[in-house]
Amino acid sequence: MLTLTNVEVKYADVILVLRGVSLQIPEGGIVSLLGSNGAGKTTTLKAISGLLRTELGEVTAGAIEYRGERIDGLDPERVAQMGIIQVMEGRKVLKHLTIEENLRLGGYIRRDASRADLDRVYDYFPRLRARKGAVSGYLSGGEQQMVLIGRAMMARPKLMLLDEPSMGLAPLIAAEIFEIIRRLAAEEGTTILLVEQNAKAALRTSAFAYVLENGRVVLEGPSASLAENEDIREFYLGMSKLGEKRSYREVKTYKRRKRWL
Amino acid sequence: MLVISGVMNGAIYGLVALGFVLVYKSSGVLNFAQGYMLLLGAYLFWFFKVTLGAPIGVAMAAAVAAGFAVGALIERLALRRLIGQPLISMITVTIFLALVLEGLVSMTWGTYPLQHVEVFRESTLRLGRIVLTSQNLVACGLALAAAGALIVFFRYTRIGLAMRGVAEGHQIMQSMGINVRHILNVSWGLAGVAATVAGILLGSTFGFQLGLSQIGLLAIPAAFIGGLDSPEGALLGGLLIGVVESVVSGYVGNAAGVPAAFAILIATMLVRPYGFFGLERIERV
Repeated sequence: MLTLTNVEVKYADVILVLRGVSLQIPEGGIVSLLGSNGAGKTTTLKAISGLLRTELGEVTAGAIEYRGERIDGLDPERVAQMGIIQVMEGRKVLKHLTIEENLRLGGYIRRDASRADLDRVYDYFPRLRARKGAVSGYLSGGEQQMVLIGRAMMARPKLMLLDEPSMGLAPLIAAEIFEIIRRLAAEEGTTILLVEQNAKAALRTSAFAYVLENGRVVLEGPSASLAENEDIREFYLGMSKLGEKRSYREVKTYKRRKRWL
Repeated sequence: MLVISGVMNGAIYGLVALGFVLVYKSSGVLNFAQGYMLLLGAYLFWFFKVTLGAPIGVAMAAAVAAGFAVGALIERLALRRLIGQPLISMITVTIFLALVLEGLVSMTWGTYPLQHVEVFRESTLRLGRIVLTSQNLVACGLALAAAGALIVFFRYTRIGLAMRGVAEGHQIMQSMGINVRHILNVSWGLAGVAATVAGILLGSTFGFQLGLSQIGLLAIPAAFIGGLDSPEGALLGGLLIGVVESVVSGYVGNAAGVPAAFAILIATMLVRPYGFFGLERIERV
C-alpha cells in the first residue's frame, strides 16, 4: 500500500535526519516503527504525510509511493485527501474548541461527513460522547488522545499514521488506546503505521515492525520474532539474556554492544 | 442623548473591531491596514453610486463584493508568502500596506472630501427629549446586522468552525487535510466586508474623506477590550467605546473623548490581559 524506498530527509538543507529509510506497509494490519529519541520516527511520519514541508524539511532522495503514486513533494492537504491522516504526537487537540467541534473538523475534508460518522467515533469512545460539549483543552491526557484518534477517524483514512499515542498516559489508559488501535485495524480495515517508544506494547499490537536508529532501519521483521531478538530485548524491552527484569545495580558494570553497529 | 449617539457610533466601531478580530483570530496578525481598507471600501461605494450612477442597493452590494476581493487579494499578494515568518514582519507589512491603500485612494480620487451622497432619506425622529436622524438609525441598524451576521457565520458554519480551528494552529489543521491558506483568504475577505460596510455607513454620515481611516485606530481599543479573539467581545467593546467617547466628550469636552477610550483600553489590559471575552490561555498542569 505504502512503500518508502531509500528516503533521505534534510532539514533546512543541512541537517540530515533520515539516511535512506525503506519501509513496506501492506494493506490492512498494523506495522510499528520503533526507536529511541531522535532516531527519526516522527520525521518518517512527517515525510509521508507531507507535514515535513511546513517545517523546512524536505525529502532529498528516494521515493514515497502510495498505491503506485509518488506522494513525496505533495502538500500535506493533498496527502490527507488521498486518505493518509497523521495523528501528531503531543496530544494536539484544538484546545478552545469542544470535543464535538474537534471531531467535526476532522471530517471537514469529506463533503459527506455525517451524524453517522460522529456516532461511530462515539461508539469507540463512549467517554467522548458523555463529554462532547466539553472544551477539549481541559480534558485529561487520555481523553485528549481519544479526541485525536477520533478526529482522524472522522476523515475515514485508509492509512493512519499514529505518533506515540501512549506517550505520557497511565498504563491502564495506554492499554485501552492500544486496544482501540487493534480494533480500528480489525473492524474498520484501516491500515496503521504505529510509532512508539513503548516497544513492548507496540510489538504486541503490530504484525510487523521496523527499528530505526540514527535515521536508518537497523532491524526489521515480524513483531513476534523481533520480541524474541536478543538485542531488542536488551535495549528496548529492558530484559537480560535470561529473560528476567534487569537489575539497575548491574547497569554500570556491564554494557552490551549493539551488534548492528 | 449622549448615550444613544454613543451607541450609534459604537455599533460602527464594533463592526470595524470585528474586522480586526477576524484577521487576528485566524492568522495572529493585528491588521493595521483595517482603517484603510475601510477608507477604500467607502470610496469604492462612492464610485459605484456616484460615478457609475448605480442604484443604492446595487452600489452597496458591489462595494461589499469588492471589499471581499480587496481583503482576499491583500492576503494572497502580501501576506501568504509570509506564513511561517516572524510575526513582526507581517505586522510591519500591514502598517505599510495602510500607507499604500491611502496613497491609492488619494491618487484616484484626490485628497479633498468627495461630493456628499445622500444615502438614506433624511428625516428626524423625536422620542421625548431625544432627537434621532433616520440616517443614524439606519446606520446603526445596518452595522449591528452586519456584525451579527458575521458572528453567526463564525459560530455556526463549517468554514467559521474551520476559521476558529486555524486560530489554534496551522499545522494541526493541515494534518487534517484542511487548506489553511484558503481559510485565511476567506477571513481576510470577510474583514474586507466588515471594513467596507463600516466605510459606507461612516462615509454617508461624515462625508467621504480621507479622515475616515481614523476610525481604524479607535476600533483597536474596542477589539482589545472585548478580547482580540472574540467577535462578540469586539461588538460589545465597540459599543462601550462609543458610549464612553460620546459621554466624556459631552460632559468633559470634545478633546477628552478619544483619550478616554484609550484610557479604558489601558485599564482593561491591566485587569484582564486577554480582554473581557477573550479566550483564556488554557494550560494544564
